[in-house]
Amino acid sequence: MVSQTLTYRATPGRFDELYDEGGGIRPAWKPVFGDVERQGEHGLAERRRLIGQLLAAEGAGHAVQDGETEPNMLPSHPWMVDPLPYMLEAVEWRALAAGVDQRVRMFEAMLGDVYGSRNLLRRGVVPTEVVYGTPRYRWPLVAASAHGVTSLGMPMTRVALYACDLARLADGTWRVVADYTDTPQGIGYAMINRSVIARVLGGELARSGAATQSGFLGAMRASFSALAAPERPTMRTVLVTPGIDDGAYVEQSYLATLLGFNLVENSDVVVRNNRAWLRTFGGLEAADTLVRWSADRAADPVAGDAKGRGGVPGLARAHLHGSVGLANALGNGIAEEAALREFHPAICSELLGEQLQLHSLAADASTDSVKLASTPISFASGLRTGTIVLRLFATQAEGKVTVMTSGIARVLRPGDSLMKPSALLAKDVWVVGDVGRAAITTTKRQRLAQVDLLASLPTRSADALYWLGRHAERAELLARSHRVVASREPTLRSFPADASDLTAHAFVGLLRRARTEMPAAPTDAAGSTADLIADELARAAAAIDDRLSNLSAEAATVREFMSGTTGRVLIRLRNYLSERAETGTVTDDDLDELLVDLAALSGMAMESTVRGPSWRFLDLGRRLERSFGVLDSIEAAVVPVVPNVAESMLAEAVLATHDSLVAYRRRYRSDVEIDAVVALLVSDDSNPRALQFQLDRMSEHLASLGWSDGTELIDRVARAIFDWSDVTIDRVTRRRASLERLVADARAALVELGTGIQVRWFSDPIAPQPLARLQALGNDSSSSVVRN
Amino acid sequence: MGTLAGRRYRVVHKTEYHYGATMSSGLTVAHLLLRETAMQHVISADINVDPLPEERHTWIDAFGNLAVQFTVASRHDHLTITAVSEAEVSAALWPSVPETVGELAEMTRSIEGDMAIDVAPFLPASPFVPAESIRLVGEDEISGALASDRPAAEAIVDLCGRIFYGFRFDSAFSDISTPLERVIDERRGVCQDFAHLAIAALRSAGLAARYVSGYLETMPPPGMVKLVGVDASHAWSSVWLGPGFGWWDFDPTNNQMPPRSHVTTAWGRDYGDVAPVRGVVLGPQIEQKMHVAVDVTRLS
Repeated sequence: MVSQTLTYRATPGRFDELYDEGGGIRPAWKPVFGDVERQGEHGLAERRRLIGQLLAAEGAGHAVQDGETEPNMLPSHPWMVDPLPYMLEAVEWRALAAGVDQRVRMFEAMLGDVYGSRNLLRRGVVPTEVVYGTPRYRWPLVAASAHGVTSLGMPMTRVALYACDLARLADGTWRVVADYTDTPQGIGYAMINRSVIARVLGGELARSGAATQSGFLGAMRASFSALAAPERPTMRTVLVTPGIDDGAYVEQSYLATLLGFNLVENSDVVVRNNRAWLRTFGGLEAADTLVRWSADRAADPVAGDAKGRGGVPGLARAHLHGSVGLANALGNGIAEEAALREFHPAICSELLGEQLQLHSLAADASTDSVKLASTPISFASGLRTGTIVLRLFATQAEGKVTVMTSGIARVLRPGDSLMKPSALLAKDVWVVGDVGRAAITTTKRQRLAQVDLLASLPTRSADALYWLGRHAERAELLARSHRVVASREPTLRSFPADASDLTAHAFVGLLRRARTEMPAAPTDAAGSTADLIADELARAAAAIDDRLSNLSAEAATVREFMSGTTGRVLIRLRNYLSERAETGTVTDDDLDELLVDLAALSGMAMESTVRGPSWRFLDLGRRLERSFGVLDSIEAAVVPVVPNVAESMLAEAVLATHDSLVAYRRRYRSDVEIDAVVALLVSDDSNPRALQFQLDRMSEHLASLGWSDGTELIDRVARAIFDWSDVTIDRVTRRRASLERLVADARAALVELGTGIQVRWFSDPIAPQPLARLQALGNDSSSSVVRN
Repeated sequence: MGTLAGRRYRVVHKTEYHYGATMSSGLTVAHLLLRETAMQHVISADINVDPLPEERHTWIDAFGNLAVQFTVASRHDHLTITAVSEAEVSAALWPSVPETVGELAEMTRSIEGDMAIDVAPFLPASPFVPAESIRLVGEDEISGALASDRPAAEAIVDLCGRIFYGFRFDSAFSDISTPLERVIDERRGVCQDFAHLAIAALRSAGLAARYVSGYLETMPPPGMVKLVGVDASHAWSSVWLGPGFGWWDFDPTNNQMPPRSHVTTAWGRDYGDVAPVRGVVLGPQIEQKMHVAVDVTRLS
């Protein structure tokens, strides 16, 4: 019970968060610190383990990122949350919140001024070179005619979201470390941290009476809807991510899920007639407010000073016109400029007529140059004195600022720049006490009309869902083939040599076909058949890994379409992969477990997904892949000539590969009969594993998605089945030939279908390429008497 | 100040792109419409685009230039932008500026009010004239022309001459991505390099300088007939000579002060603000072909 936590000591002469000047524990910390003492080291270690697990389940592969660095360039790191939260007295939070509120208003006014009338520069409040001397001041957004007002005549709200980092000095006063007005990051991370901490420290959280974060989501929604141009009956907000590689992707997808908005990529958005539109499989749909995470200069590739190729072409013009609400406005980066900090007091008094409440530290402040207050941090080795930077968040709707009654405290390492904590250890922030009415009753509950997320589906999401379905189905086929062949391979030894070889060949074909390779193995098979099969099994296992990583990559881009439980299954799939990477082997048990997870995934797709186009694309992918799978197995293991002893074993293997063995036995109660097997797998429309069953489902999807050419291709497959079943099969050789034809005809039509789906819905290449620029102005001076 | 007789010009500036593949859409921003200036009256200015764009927006940018953005929203495999303009251009002899370079720099430094909008943007470094190249050019022999105790006009005449005689015109040497540092090293370049050089030198001396893009009437070599399409877009520089005189142009590529047969399109801090055509096209990866033809015809 006497744990190392008791070794924590405050430093004399330095403000300590835990102990007051008299050495007593501050009231806000008392309950939670008492709890930590009771927990002791083991309790904390257990909590840390749980937190790690839960963070991983949220896909926390990324650290809280700094706003200033290029988001795309950041490596991703997992971050950790301290089981000991950071406690903030409400009275103190209120003072900070008032300061944050003022900063939002100040930056709003300042941005309106520097992109409009520029009175701050005319009057010399800010030296012109401070603004004009940085590329963060964006000339394409300075409209000669617009004085802080859009072409539609509406005032523009520029700072819809805001974050700032604060540090408490050794004397107990607070200073601003950095302001984030361009693409403020961390709101989603704060919410992930809280959801994790609430599960681990639920009781403590409730007893402490810490303020919740939930009001902030509503305030954000209100802010986004206020940004939309007036008279938009179908007000719609979409979150726009630079892509899955972005350092803040995890929080973006988390926020999308919490807010219930689509998360789309830049290439999903097009600008037409000064408005933003979302490419959906049904055509262009209006998007009224975009919440962007692409940095200012990367947001529109045709804006004069654009950087890179990404972004949404034409966004800057549409934004200035006023028809596209943007959170945050383009050009906002200038407000983060460090050189402006010394002028904040003057700007605040000039534009707001108020005294600046929160003052800034020097831009290069580090733990070496600034003496900070101490805070208890719980490490595996015990409770230690550390320092933190506190990030607070605010959102603005029509001049009304809401500050989140929480935040993120990031732990600093010795020598860290205050702007770039390197420890990747965060604390949830608990604001305890009376936060005041303003903080709670921020927004009246708004019912915001949203376009039906189920009915409208971004093209790229449809693409991802379709491939998700295909990869999941192929992974399942591979896993089953692997199981089936591995368990039957020993039987081959009891066969006569000839029969054994031919059967082994069919097994190899089954595995190769499952990998979508040609069934014939290379002829220079040097080793024994056992070696050959072992080799193919290893390849199949590797192919499963490939499919699962593709599956999980596709899934990550469409998180908002998945239920929370689906997320958990995906975590389990990732765990399978990391275990495989560690051990390099795969056991029957591993595969059985994997098959259960894959079954859970498809079960949830059927049972927990509303029947909109998103579900249809997912299921279409699955059905198409399953159709290929049936043909693959028949081609590899039923068509080839095998000795009689092996025939029924192979047929059984195929049935097992397609999870139809039990169905077969129930129906036929006989030894395995090839024709019956093929009928069950091909033409039986009541068997959910049969080709005909897949065709029926795909027909429904294509009819609903409105693609008649696709339906015709399905009919072609159906005709191939009909032709095959119509043949009176009297001789074995004829039976094989007709099966071969069935496989060939059906596969050809299905390949065409796959290509057709790609072309019809997903093929529009959408990465903008810059137009060539003139190599050199002027031409050879010899042709003219003047040079140019 | 004396004014030279006005001349009337017709300019046809044709930019063609061939994509070699069908693109799904494209969005282009052009600085091709002539602007009205103290010395230039625009009679007509128009841009024709083929294929016909689905939408077109025109606005006045931060520097007072006319910018056009157009979107071709349907499938297309080429883009032709033809700007046809007519303007009457006059020129004025440079004023006799009483201030020295140093005094002018002091005036430039202490500007306020509207000049914070009109002049101050052209004082600091900009993307094509970065701080490092301003420092380098400031140490270069050409900036020796701008000694602070020299009469300003005389100093700028000297600067213009030092660039003209000290650098070789070489259209094969540079393109818009060639950094100014290399132009200084190799003493070669084309008009936009020389304009940027002059701007860097002036800014290093604390003067405000801007980049002017436009056209220049060229003459065929003696005894030859002028060919079609041989002209080109051109660029020169402008310097701020104090509140009394404002902005004055000079052409370091041709050592002309004032420029006499120059048609102005737009101005900005450097090339980047006024690139004639920039844009993106959406579709398969392509190798695009681009061709530009300019004709400047003197009408009177």
